Amino acid sequence: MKHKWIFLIPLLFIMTGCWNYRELNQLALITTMAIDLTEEGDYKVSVLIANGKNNQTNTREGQSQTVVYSGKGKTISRAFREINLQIPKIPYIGHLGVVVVSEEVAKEGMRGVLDYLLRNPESVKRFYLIMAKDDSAEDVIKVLSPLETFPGQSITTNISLSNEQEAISTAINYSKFVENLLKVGKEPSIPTISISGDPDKGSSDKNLESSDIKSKIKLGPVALFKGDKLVYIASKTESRGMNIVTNQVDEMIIEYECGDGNIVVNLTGMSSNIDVSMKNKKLLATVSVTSEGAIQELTCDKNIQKNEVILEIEKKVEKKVKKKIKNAIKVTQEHSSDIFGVGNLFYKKYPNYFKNLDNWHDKYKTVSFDYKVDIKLNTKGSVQKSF
Amino acid sequence: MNLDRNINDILKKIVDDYGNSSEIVKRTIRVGKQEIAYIYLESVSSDDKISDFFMKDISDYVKNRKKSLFENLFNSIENSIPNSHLNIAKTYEDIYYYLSSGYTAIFVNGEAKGIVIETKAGLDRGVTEASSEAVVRGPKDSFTENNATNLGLIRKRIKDPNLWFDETIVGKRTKTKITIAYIQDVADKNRVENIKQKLQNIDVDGILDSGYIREFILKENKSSFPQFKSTERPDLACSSLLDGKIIILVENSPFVLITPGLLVDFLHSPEDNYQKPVNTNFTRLLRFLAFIVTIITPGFYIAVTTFNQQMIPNELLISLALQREGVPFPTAFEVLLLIITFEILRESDIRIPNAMGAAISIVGALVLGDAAVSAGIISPIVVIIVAITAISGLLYTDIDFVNATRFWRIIFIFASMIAGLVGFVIASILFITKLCSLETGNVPYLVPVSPFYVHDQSSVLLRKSRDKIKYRPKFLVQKNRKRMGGKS
Repeated sequence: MKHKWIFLIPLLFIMTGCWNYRELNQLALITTMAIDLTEEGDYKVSVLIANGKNNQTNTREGQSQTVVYSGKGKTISRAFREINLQIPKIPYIGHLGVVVVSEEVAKEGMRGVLDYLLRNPESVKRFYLIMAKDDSAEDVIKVLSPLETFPGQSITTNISLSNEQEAISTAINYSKFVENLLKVGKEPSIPTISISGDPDKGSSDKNLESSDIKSKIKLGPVALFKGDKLVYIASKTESRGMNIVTNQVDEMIIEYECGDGNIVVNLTGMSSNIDVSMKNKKLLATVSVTSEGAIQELTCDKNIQKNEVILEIEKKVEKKVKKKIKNAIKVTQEHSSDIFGVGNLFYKKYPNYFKNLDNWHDKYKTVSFDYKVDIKLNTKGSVQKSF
Repeated sequence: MNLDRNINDILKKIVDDYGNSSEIVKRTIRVGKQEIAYIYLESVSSDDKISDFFMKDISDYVKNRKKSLFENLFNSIENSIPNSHLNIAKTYEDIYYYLSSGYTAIFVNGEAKGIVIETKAGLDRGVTEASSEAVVRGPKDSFTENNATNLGLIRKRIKDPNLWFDETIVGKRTKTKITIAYIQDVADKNRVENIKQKLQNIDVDGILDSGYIREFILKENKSSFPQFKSTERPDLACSSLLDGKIIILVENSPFVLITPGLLVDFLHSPEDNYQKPVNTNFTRLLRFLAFIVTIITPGFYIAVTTFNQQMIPNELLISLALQREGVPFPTAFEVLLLIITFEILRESDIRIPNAMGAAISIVGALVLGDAAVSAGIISPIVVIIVAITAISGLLYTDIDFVNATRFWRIIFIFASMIAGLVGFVIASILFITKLCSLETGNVPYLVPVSPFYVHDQSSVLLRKSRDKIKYRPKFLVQKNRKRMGGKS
């Protein structure tokens, strides 16, 4: 057997099927997806394709035009098939960055949406999940942003930066949502998004041409879920409180009036912790928050060189934060949506008692909360007094 | 065949055997009652030397007519000629070897032997700057085609008598001198013997370059990676000798062979030893990186863009997809097209006379770069990929090594073309297995990285300061391993 390699030749014919072979320009790269519910109760899926050809500029410079296609159907799969018929390329959801669902879909239940995206082997399970508030999801993904090349991209960066800066919305990606949904004694929550301005003008190129943008997207507060169904959209202040408790805030500002001016304290390095205990079958949860702070603005007459004044400010800020948390937790208890996972903590600590958390929704309302807030002002800024 | 006694017979036979060649110069002189004759080939001999060393003396004999001289003319000539390269030849074969080497043969009538004296013409270029292995800082001289010069360049660096030169003549027609150089009390005896044995077993009509020798010694090996490091730098040769390696010098070849040639040797440069270790180490790491880059980049690009798009970041993917818009060929074909174009350019650049080089590079840059992209035949990213691959591949001085990386690059491309990342991984496994299974001079090719020798790492991936490198590598040398202190 001198020429064993001859047997390799037939393999050339068998194995050149090129499993999963796709050239890049055959793909329609879907970066954002919107799911709405039509009046007839069908799903309407819209996808934003990032690599449309732009006729005006040279495509080789990386400029692209985004296109939105949509299709309707009883199920997500059927709607997707509709889209397939319209696109002359292979739809590719491996780089899906954001999925926007409408309020109706969230109220109806996310199950249909979740299952399709989970089952699809192509999708990477790290895209952000977000809910469109007031507007349809389709309109949201159509809004063009002048600061980012692709609309989907602008939502992604917006989400990932916002919870560090503003503490209203939190970045929840798909796998996190599913995790929270499946966890015992925990409910999911997702941020919301809305259009400020005219939705119709946002999708046209003209939106990018003037410096005064007619239509832009804006991140909103947190939407609370009970199971896979939307129960309540929190207000901005409530959202802030919730995010403090879920330990998702890096930085936030607290402001209050003093005399004829204002004091603004910037809280950094916030961390929170929930401790649960059970006494005489009464459930008690202690939320403790620690943070450092810096005076960012001071327009009233206060001598911050004095230690008592600093302590006074600290007290005041602690009280403010406590109030925020209290309100936030109260809202979640009202709608029995335990987004903090208190139930899960009880379950872990007292596994025998909470063998099955069947009616945790009701029990959650009975949990009494205790709050400990500790804030230290370290920096007073580079100016001593106000002028 | 032994020499005749009659000088006329001798001369006639020599002239006949050389086919009455025009280069033969011969003359018969009467000295007293006796006749002497000399013969040489003017093509390889220097007339000046013949006049200085030989003609002057003979004319003195003729003028003086000392009687005692003539009684034993052969011995008198043998003892009085002022030339240190003087031999007695008794057969025609010897005479021919000497004549062709630039010697002059002298015969005395009645004696069946001849005196040969060295009268070589300087047919060699001088010692010039190393052209294929340039350094910024370090010795600039290089080996030449002259065997004695080459040996001299080594000897003047290592003045130890333990540096031995072992000469073998190979090639039935070319009679090429092959010299094995090694430091006797450091180098592995078995390895030296083994090479000597193999050299003696070579049965071929001619050896024209050290490249021939390499193939005779490694007959059964078909790997694309070279197992002899060839260099034209005497300093590199000497540092290898000090490490305990063996050097093979071939007459008429400015490239000497260093054995065993390990993979890391090809990734090092002699200049590494002349610069500061901290800076050198950065350069070395770059070279290791470039070695991997030049082999895998095109294959990886094909695998990722045509099969496993999930791996590309969002923005890059969109940009790549747009660049490919309107390109008619599959990605793999695009890459192959450009790589082949580049290889053609590289080959033409080596062969072409210098004067035309500029024209080639303009055409090359335009064809490879701008025009092909503008014409929509290839996408711009492929130009970048091939450019990175090509530049990385040219970091190494050994042309065989560069070509070996090219060989594996193509294998990676084909593997990725057929099965994407799966194929890429299969090719990687093949590549690593092949490298690990290679052996050179009874030493694994990847030593001292695999198998890993902790104590021999002082100058492998990173270089320690010279005063910290205390021992010679263990896998090469068993005795006299100390470089410092005691007997070194």
